[in-house]
Amino acid sequence: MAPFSRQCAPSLALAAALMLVQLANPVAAEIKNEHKVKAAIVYKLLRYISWPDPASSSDTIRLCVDSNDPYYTAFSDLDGRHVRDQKIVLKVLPEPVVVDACHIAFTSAERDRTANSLIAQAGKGVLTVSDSSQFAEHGGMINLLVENNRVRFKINPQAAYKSDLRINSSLLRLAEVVETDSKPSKTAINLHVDSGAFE
Amino acid sequence: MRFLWGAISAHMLRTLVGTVCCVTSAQALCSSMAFDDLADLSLEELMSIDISTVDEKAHNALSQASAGYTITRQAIQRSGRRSIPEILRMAPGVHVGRVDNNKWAVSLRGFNGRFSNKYLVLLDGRSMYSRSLPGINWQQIDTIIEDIDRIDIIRGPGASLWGSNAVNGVINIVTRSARETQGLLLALSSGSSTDSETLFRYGTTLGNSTHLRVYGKHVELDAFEDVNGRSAHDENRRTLIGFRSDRQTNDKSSLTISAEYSQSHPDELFASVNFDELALQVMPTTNRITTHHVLTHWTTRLTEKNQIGLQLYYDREERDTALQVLERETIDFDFKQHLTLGNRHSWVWGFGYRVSHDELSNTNLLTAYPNNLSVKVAQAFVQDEIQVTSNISVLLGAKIEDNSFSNIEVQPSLKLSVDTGQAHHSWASVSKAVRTPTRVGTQVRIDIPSLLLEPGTALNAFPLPLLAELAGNDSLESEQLLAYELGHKWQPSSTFYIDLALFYNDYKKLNGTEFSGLLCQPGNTLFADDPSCLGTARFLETPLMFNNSVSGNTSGGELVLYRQFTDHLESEFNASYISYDLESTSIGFLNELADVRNPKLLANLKLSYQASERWNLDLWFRHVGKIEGFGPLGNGFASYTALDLRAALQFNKFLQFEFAAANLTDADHLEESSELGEVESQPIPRTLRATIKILF
Repeated sequence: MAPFSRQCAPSLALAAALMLVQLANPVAAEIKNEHKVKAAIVYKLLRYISWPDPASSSDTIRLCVDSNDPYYTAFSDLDGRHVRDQKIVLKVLPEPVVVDACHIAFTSAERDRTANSLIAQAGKGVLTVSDSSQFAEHGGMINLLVENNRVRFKINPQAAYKSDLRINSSLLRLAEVVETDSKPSKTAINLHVDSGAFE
Repeated sequence: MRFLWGAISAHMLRTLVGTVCCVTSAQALCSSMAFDDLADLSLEELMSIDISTVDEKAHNALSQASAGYTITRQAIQRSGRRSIPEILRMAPGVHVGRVDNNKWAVSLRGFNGRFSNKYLVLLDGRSMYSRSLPGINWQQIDTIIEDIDRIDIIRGPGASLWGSNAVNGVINIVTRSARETQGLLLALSSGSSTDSETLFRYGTTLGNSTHLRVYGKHVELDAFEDVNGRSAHDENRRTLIGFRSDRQTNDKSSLTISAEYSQSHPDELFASVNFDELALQVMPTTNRITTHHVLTHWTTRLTEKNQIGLQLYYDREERDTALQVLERETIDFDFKQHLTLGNRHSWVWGFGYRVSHDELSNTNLLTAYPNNLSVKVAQAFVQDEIQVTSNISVLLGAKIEDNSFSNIEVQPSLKLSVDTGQAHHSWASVSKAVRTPTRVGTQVRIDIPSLLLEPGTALNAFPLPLLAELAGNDSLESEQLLAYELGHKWQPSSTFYIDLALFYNDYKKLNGTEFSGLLCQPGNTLFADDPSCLGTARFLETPLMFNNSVSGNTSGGELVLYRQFTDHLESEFNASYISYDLESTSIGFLNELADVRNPKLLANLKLSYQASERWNLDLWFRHVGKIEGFGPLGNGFASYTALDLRAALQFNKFLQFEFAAANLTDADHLEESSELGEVESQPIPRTLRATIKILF
């Protein structure tokens, strides 16, 4: 007991000192883990998406995010990274929404209105991504979700095909597949089985 | 209450331990979760990262400065074991001893016994600790093994968050959400003479955001053979059935509703006192335990920095066993809120109330006074995690609790966590925890069959048989612990890590007993008052009154070494050591004997080999040190090293075969005994088992 009390005394003192120090030593704001993980997932799933020509032959992938979007900082980590031999370039999503110049347009749930205009605006060859509720069911393509503290996603392949985007089937296996304004399809249930009990 | 830092998968842990605290804990605790590290992960791994909300955050922060260990789903599957105590054997600092076929002794950081009582077990947020009986009843802790997401184990006090009785640790069993358990699973398992299990689980989707699973299982355990090759009459039949639904609304709220019913028949060879013949009688006894519960859990994110969680459950158990005839109902309510204030403060606070009503009937060995009791526990806690600099954080927390047995208890904790760079992480903590008195200890008398002493022997010089009984003492106080802990984690690469934890536990007011007089029976005459009562008495009785006479310390540590040799071969070694220095100020029974009732050394070595896409092979060596025993009053047990093997074949997407062998090298060793000596320890046999799992 005695030797341990002596050993612990310095750490207690240290802890107390540190608590005083921290009042005078602010730390830079951190990006939420959720934002980072969602951004990383978007980065990862890009390699499963094929764009129609001429986008597919372009040497850049233009990722558009509203500069006021809370996710903008997290997505800035993608800027300059490569997917296969294409470089990701982060662009500011214009207001009002014009998506013509984007390969991917992201908007977060905090900006629900943008999400709706994203769906309305998206033309050929623009991959729409949002974490807004029911985004995929309303016609968005990739819908990030948080469930049990884990990020997962729904995909609306129908919407993607309409835009001439190709989604690799191994990505669909990881997703919940939905159709526009419908309940989860039978496929979705079967796909869940794949990631079921066996590991 | 779903907690712990290992909320990520095993593989994740291994690839990411350098940044593990960043991934798993609140942003405040770690400098940052580097995007580079995330970018190196696969999509599946990213989808398994826990981004933490209310419950988890509180827990993650705490466990950053605690000795935590997670048994992952993969480790559970690859253990080949089909009961929770057996799975717990792999964790450092956890001693698991099987008394007979259906009785277990489990403890963290010492003080083991069938009635060990200095830790908590939570199963999906439900406390499995009983104040009606001492401690944890492992006979009632079971679920579908395939649906367990992870078992989080914190060694050392967790009382500032979980409240009293989280003295030497917390075992938190978390099952998967209904969404993660979709489809039909059927499993059939049959073992060499010892057990068979049949289970089903069906998971389905109800509408857009609601998932449901229903499940059931039936286990039959045949009796062990005793040391003379006769039936030990310790067979068990166990059936459980239940459901769980998870509903996710607008990505911000989730609602879980679950319910379960179980019935088991853990029979035994029960030793008690035959008062007609004044002799020990051992009889095969048929027991019955039924339980059911309903639980609902709701969490919502009000804003990004403000999350709340509510939980409510009702739990009922009926035990009709030779030792205890008990009916108990519990209602528990908990509220929690997590608030991030500014950049540095991460607050968690909450409160809860539990009321438990029991009816404890008298049995051959046990007399309760009163027979009916309501136990009420009101609690509140607050915890602040302060990010002092980018790599130093301090956690301050305390729980205040008002309970029927010991009134107000305050259990604070101070923890310091430092990222020392280069994948090094150090922590230190000082925490207080108490174990509150229970029915046994305050309001129950129990005869101790192993202490029926024949006349004229070394232990009983009187001319009459002498029987000892444990006697409750209603002024018994809480046992107190002040724990000092230090730890260090180092992961120089994704394929290697070391995790070391050291502890010094300073205990005060531990339960002991004191011989309080000698009574001539029948007649209840105090021998000291009237020595002539010996002439008319049939036997002598000595009450061993519970007291708080034991104090002292334990010290020791646990080491975990992980190494991944290739993509297909990984290994883990862990070892635990504890030494005891306890003394008692009174003369009684079992007073300072924790050191002779427990092994000092425990070790595990596991090797996992993925031989091909379809074949997995696992080897597991387990070593348990010698239990000294205490002469004529309690057996010791030799140390043993057992080898378990498992081979699994994933035949196709729908079909898996598993072959598991346990105790290959050391069949028929004895592991643990019950403190009261009401059941015999039985030799644990070698078992071979085949399991087939079908998934659609």
